[in-house]
Amino acid sequence: MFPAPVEQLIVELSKLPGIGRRSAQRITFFLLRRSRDDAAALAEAIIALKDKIHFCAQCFNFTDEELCGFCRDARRDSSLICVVEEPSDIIPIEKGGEYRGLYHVLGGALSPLDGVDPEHLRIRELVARVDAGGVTEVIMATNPNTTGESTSMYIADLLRGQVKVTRLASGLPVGADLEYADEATVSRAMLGRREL
Amino acid sequence: MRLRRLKLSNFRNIQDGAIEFPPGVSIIVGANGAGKTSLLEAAMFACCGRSFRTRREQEMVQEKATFFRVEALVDWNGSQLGRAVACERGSGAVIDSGGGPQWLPGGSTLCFSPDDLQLIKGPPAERRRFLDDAIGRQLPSYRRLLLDYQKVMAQRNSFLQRARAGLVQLADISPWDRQLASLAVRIYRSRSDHCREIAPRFEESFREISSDDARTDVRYVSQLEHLESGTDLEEKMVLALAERWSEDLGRLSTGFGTHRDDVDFTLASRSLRAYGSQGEQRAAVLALLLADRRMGIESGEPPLLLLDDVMSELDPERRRRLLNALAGNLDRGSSGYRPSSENNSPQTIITAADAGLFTDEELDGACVIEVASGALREARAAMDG
Repeated sequence: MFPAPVEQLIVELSKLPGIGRRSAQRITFFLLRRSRDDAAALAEAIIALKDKIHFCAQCFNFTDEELCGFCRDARRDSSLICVVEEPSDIIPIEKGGEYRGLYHVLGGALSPLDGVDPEHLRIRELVARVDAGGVTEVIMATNPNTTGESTSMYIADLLRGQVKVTRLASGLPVGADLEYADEATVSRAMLGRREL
Repeated sequence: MRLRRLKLSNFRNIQDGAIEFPPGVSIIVGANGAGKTSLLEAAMFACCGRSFRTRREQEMVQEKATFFRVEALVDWNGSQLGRAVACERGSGAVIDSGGGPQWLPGGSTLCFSPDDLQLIKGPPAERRRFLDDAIGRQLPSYRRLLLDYQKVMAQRNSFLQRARAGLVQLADISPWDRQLASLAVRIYRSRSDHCREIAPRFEESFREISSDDARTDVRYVSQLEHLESGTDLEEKMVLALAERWSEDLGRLSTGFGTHRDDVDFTLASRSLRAYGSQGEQRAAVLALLLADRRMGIESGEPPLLLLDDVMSELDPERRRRLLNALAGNLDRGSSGYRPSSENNSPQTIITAADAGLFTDEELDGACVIEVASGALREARAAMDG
C-alpha cells in the first residue's frame, strides 16, 4: 500500500511501547512533511542513545560515563543502597527528595514463569558491593507485587547477617482520600499500621 | 443484588423480549423448551459473566442469529446500573457496565438447577468456588488475595520445573514459599470464619426445607488446620512447604496449601457427599444457597437467587416448605432482619413447567411470567403480599 521506506518506518515505529500501527502511520507522515535536518536530528539522537549510553559500572543505572551521576556524586551517602528493579524506578524516589544514598538497579524481578532466575539479575553485583564494605543499610524498593516481594525476600536472605536490609512501606497514597483507595491498598496499610 | 429489568435479543431460544421483575418471588412458567432456563442464564450472564450451562459464550447465540444481546437493569451496592452484554459469533462478549464494575462479583447471583448437585457431590473445587464467591461478595480485598495466591503458586510451580532442569537451586524457592504461606494463612482464616458463620444458618435452612431435624454441620477441611496448635501459623506453613520440597519437585506442583481445601457438609455427623441420599443432597444444596443468601441479607447486599425447575423435584410438602423458607427469609431471618427498603430485599426467580405446581396461596404476592416459544409475557400481575 505504501512505498517500501514508508512501510518499513511504520513497522519499526509500531514496535515501540504504546504505539500501534495507526500512531506509527501518523508519526511517519509527520516526519515525511518535516525537513531532512529534523529527521537526521531524530535519527542521530537514537543512534547516540545506543552508542553512548551504557550501564553504570557500579549500580547499573544508565549513564554516558563510567559511573552514573549518583555514584559520582561525593555528597551522596555511600553507606545506603536503594535496590530497584528498573532505572525508571529511580525517578520517583529522586523526586521524593528524601533519599540521599546510592542505588542498585537489578534489571527486573525474579519470575520463574518468565524465565527470570537470580543469575539474570544484578544480584551477584549487589552482594559484591556489600562485601566490599562501607554499606550499613540496603533498602529494598522493588515493586509491591508478587515478583517484587519474592525478589526482596531472596536478596534479604542473601544479605542476612551482613547488613541491615529494609523494605519500603506500602500503604495509602499521601494527600488522597481514604474513600477512593482500592481495597488491597487499604488492607496492606491496615497490616502495616504504626503506633502514634 | 436486585434485578429490575431484563431485555434479551437472540439469546438461545428467546428471540426478543423484556421482563420487569418485582422484588420478592417471581415465577416463570412455560412448557419444556420454551426458554425458562435461558432467562435465568441470561440474567446470570449479564450480571456476572458466568453461565451455569456453558463456558462458551458463542453457544448462547440463537441458532439462526449472528449475535445476542442482554440488557439488565440492576440495583447493586446502592446504585442502579444499566448493564448491556452483547456477543457476536466469532468474537468475545462486549460489555457496557453502566458505570459499575465490568462483572459483578460471582456471589451476587446464586443458581440452583435440579441435576446440579455438584456443590455437594462434585469435586472440592466447586465448594471452594462457592465459599470464595460468598466471601468475596462481602470482602472485595479477598478476591485480590485469591488472585495473588494463584499467581504465587504458578510462579512456584514454574520454579520447580526450573529447579528440576537444573537452572536454579531448590533452596531458592523459599521467597515463594513465604509469600504463599502469608497469603494461604489469610485465605484459611477467612474461609474458616465463613464456614463457622454459615453453619448455623445452613442448619436452620436445612430444617426449613426438609422435615429432618438431625444436626447438620459445615466443616471446613484444610491441610492448614493440622498446623494450628501454636501461634505462628505462617511460620509453620513455611516449614510444612519446606518438608515437601522433594515431593513437590517430583510432581512439579505444590502439594500443600489452601488450593486443596474442601468443605464437608454433614447430616447427623455423616458426610452428605458420601452418604447423603439424592433428596438430602438436593435439600443441602438449597439450604446452602438459602444460608448464603441469609448472610447476604444480613450484610445488606442479598444475592439474587435463581432456582431452575426445582419444584418438580420436590414433593408437595417440601415445595411448601421451600416457598415458606424463601418468603421467611424476608421477614424472619435469624438475625431478626427486616428489609429497610425494597432495594435490599432479597429477590428470587423460580422456573416451573406448570403454574399448577403452586397453590393459589403460594402464588399470592408472586409475579408469574409466562414464556411460550421464545416470547415473554406477564401472566399475572404481582399483588402486594
